Order: sequence, then structure tokens, then C-alpha cells
Amino acid sequence: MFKPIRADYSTIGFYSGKIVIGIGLLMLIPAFTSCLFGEWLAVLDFMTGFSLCFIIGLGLQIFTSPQKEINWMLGMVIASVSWFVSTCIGAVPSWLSGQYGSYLDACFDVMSGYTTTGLILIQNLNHTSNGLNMWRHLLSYVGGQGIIVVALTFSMKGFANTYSLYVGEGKDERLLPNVIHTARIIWIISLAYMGIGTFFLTFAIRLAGMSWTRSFLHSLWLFMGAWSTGGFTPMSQNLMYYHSSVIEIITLVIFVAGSLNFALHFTVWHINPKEILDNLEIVSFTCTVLITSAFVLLGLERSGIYPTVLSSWRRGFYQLVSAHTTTGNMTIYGTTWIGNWGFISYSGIIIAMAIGGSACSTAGGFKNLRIGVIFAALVEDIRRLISPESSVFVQRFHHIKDQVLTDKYIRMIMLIVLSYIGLYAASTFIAVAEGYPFLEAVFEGISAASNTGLTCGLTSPSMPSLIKIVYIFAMWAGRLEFMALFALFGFIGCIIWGRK
Amino acid sequence: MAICLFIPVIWMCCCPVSTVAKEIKLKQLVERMKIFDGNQIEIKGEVAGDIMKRKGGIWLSIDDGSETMGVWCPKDILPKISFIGGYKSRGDILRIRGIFNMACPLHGGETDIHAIEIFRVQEGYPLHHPASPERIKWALILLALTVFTAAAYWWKKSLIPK
Repeated sequence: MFKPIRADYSTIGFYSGKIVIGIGLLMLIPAFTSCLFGEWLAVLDFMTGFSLCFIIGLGLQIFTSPQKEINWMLGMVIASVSWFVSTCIGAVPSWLSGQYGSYLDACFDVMSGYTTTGLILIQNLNHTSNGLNMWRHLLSYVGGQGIIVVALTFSMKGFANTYSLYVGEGKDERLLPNVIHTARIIWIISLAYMGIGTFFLTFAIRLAGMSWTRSFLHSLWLFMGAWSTGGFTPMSQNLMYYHSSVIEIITLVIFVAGSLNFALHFTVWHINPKEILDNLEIVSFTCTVLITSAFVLLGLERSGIYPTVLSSWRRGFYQLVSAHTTTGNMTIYGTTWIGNWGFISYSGIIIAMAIGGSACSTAGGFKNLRIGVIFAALVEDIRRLISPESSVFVQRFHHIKDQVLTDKYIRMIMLIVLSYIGLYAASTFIAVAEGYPFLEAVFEGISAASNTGLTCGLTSPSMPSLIKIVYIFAMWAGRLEFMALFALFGFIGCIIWGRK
Repeated sequence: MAICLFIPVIWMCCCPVSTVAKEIKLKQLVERMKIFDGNQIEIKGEVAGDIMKRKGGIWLSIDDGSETMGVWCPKDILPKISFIGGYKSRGDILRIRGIFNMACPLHGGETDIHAIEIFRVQEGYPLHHPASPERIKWALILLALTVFTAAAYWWKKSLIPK
């Protein structure tokens, strides 16, 4: 274990600076939105944030340089540092808006946006400017694809051959051999869906009774929230605000699409449309949705809360898929989960949130691929147990291509799944220790760490700062899938205990 | 005889919600849905967001500061609304008497209130968001520093041989 040298710090600073400049450029979009609607105070907030980003980002470019090739360790550290710094700076315009109780609350919301979680501490959401709403949803949209993917997309100078940065952001599948081309494909897929999704939502919202301008803005924001599986909405009632089954169906389709692997989208579009039928992730997702739906609908049937089977399905299935894709859009009040739905439905939602969406997507949680692989490994072990000792097995699974299931791969998957379980447990424990009821603490802890964003009411501006900090960490760790954070902790350990 | 006199009093004290409307916070409604379900309640809050006209009625969003809830009302009972709550205005304050539904059979199991009577108790007003001189000063200082940092960056870049 060697103490990092100046060149390491310089390289980390250089690349983080570039990401910060990217965040500054993003702030121009909400600033422009505010200009359009004459929200001049909000324009001032975003220009202040923009200036800070450029001062820090360009300052880092002046005083640092890429003195080292980015290896795995540095790539991972840059990814985790960039996410942290982006959160701190991204929170500035939010905090200046005056709608947050503290700077910590603003950081919480920004981290929630980047990590596509969807838990919020913003106050008076119904009176938010269009600029701030654009910023909140943009953070979620960009965070879904990945902050570093943005930098790679624009092929920022010096970002070539930086696959470790891309992996550090929780995405580990190359759609194309070149990582920059992979990043661009991710954005092309996202923007294509954005065009289609916004188009349909605009008409649906207009039919719901809103003006054309507001229909367009709301459709754009709802799309960003749903596609990124973030679950942010511009109004405090979330999806309940629209009172429309058509909007619910469209958003449901969008967040299911958003929760699918980008590699799967790419393969289905360009190579083999039948991949969707054979892919292990889809098989795993379908099975877990069916099982958890059975839990939810059985629970709702027993609780008898809804007057008809159709309304029970409408509420139950929407919340379940929203939980399973880690979106967090809600058509019920948070207090309903524990108070009215009953323990069986509650358990179904908890399991769905913990499992989450697909790998290399905008979703969080264990991921369907990992659940599928663990199940395949379990089946293989059982086959080994009941077969003669001399038998030789080669277990395969299909994900984009046929792959061999190796012990090393299973070990890596188990490490990540166990890390998630640890994070879920730790988030729960802290909330219980702060005096919250166990069921609420479990729900909210898993929701934060799996980047879901459904809430049973625990998350509020009045909750203790310790829980806010723990949830910020949980969202960050869950989104980056631990490896980047392990590398960061290792790096900090090297600074303290490393040999010269 | 004495106990007979006390029965109505005891009943009034113990019964959590009577069928007579009583002003209540939306947060209380949401937290104690089962108790209030199907009962007549009265709320007071600001009209926020949009007024959505639909077949057979209108959806209003009422924000009372503690929570927001959808209110379904027939077109003929809605008073004139001058301001709808948003970034640029504080919406009219309405007092609404209606039936609370934990899972409305008419609206796909949604939690809502079906209005019976609506009164406008206070007219809304435009909201202004003036920037304080202090904030303008800091924004300008930061902008000047940005220009300075950008100049320093380009100068440093020009020193590096291509």
C-alpha cells in the first residue's frame, strides 16, 4: 500500500475539474428556462452556481494536470469524487432558491436527483419556479445516464481510454468497443425515447386539462423523472396530481423502458429484436414482477382497501412496478403503505425495491441480472449435488450473448449483493436508533439505498441530520455500486497509512 | 337517570369524527384515512397548480400547507378563482365542505375529496421575487472572478507548446 503521490492528486483534480465544468454548463439550461418565464431571481441563482462551477473547474484545470494514466484505482476514485463534488456544487442554486431548510437538505435533493432516487426535502414544491423544476429533473435525467457518461459523450479532451471511469459509475457493459461511442449510444437511446415519451405525455396532460405550455413542461419533466427511474415530479402530489390513468400507463411504460439495460436496448434496436425474449435479465425481471405482484395484490385483496378489483390492480400494480424499477412515482399517499396496505403488500414492495431494475440502466437495487445469475448458480449447485461426482458441468446463461458462469463471476456478484444488504441494514439501523418505527425505517432505508425514492413519510425536512447524511451516503453508494466507494476508501486509507 | 343525561355527552366526546363537517388539516386526513373515510369534512387551503376541467366536473389541487389533495367538484359550485398558486402567485384560499374518500370508487381508488360546497374566503395575490442588492453584488463578483479565471486558464493554455 503506497502513499499517493502528487501526480495522483493532480490527475484526480484535473478530471474532477472537467466534470465540474460540465455541471456548470448544465446550469445554463434551467437558467435559460427561467429567462423564458421571467423568473429573474432564479436566473441569478443559476448564474451564481454557473460562476462557482467555472471558478472551481477552471481553477482545477490551471493548477492540476493529467500526470498519470488513469488506472482502475484512479478511475474509480475520480468517479466517486466527481459525484460528491457535483452534488455539493449542484446544490448551490437549489439552496439559493430559499426552498430548502438548510444546505444539507439541498445536497440531499441533488444527490437524490443524480442517483435517480427521488426522495425529496424541498419545501413548498407547488410554488417552485420552472427553472428550479427544470434543474431538479435535469439532474435526475443526467444522473440516470451518468455524469461521466455526459463527459464521455462530448468526448471531453483527455477522456479517451477511460473505461475505468465509466465502470466507476456503476455501468460495466460496453455497447461498442470504444467507450466514447458507448456513451454516445446511451445518449442517443435516451434522447430518442425522450422525443417519443414527451410527445405522448404532452397530449395526455393536455387532455387531462392543463394548458399547452404547462403540458409540455410537465411532460418533459415527467419523462425525465420516469425514464431516469428517478421519480421526481413538479408537484407535491406526485402522479396523483394528474388524476389520469392514461398518464399513469405512459409513465409506467417509460420507467420500465428506462429500467432496462442499455446494452439490451442497443441489441434489440440494432442486432437482434428477439434478444428481449431470451435475455436472462428480462426472464428474471418478469419472474420477480409476477411473484411480487402476487404478494401486493393478495395483500390488497385481504386488506379490502380498494372498492373494485380494477382499482386494486391500478394502484397496486403501478406502485409495484414503480418500486421494482426503482422509480418512485406514486399514485397513493406515503402513509398508505404501512397504515392501509397490510404487511403482505408491504413485503412485496420491499422485496421489489431491494431487487431493483437492470444492470447498466438508470435503475438501482441488486439488479435483475444478478438475481438471475444467483438463481442459475443455485440450480447448478443442486444439479452438482444430485449428479455423480465425476460429472462435469459448464453452466451458461444468455445475456446479449451466451456466457459461461464462472465462480469468479458469481463471487463478484455475491460481493455486490451482500454490500447492498449491508447498506439496507445500516440505513435501517440508523433510523431505528434515531427512534423511528422499524417498518418505516426498513421501508425508507431500502428505498434510499436501492435508489427507489418511494416514501412512507419518514423522509421530511424535520428528520434528524444524521439520517439525512446516512441516506445521502446510501444513495451515493447504491448508485455507484460500491466499487468506486471501496476504491475511494482504499485511497483515503493509503493517504493515512500508506508507505512512501 | 343521571347516566342517561351523560350518554350524549360521552358519545360526543368519544366519537372521533362526527358526520357534521369540521375543519381539518389534510395531513391529519392522510394519517388517519380509515377514520375519516366516507365522512363529511371541511378543509381550508390554497388552490395550487392547475384547474383541470373534465367530463362531469373539475379537479382542484388544494394545498393547506401540511399536505396537498385533489378535490373533485361539480362545475356549478366552483366560485370564481382569481389566482392559482404557483411561483408567481399565491392562490385563492377556499373553504371546502365535502366527502373524504380513502379509495374513491368513482376515480379508480384515488384518495380524494368530493366537494359539496366551496367558498372563497380570501383572494390570492401576485408574488414578487425581488433580488436583494447583496445577492446581485455577489453574483457580479463571482461573474468577474469567472472571467478572470477563464482568462488565466487560456493564458496558461497558450503557454503550453502544441
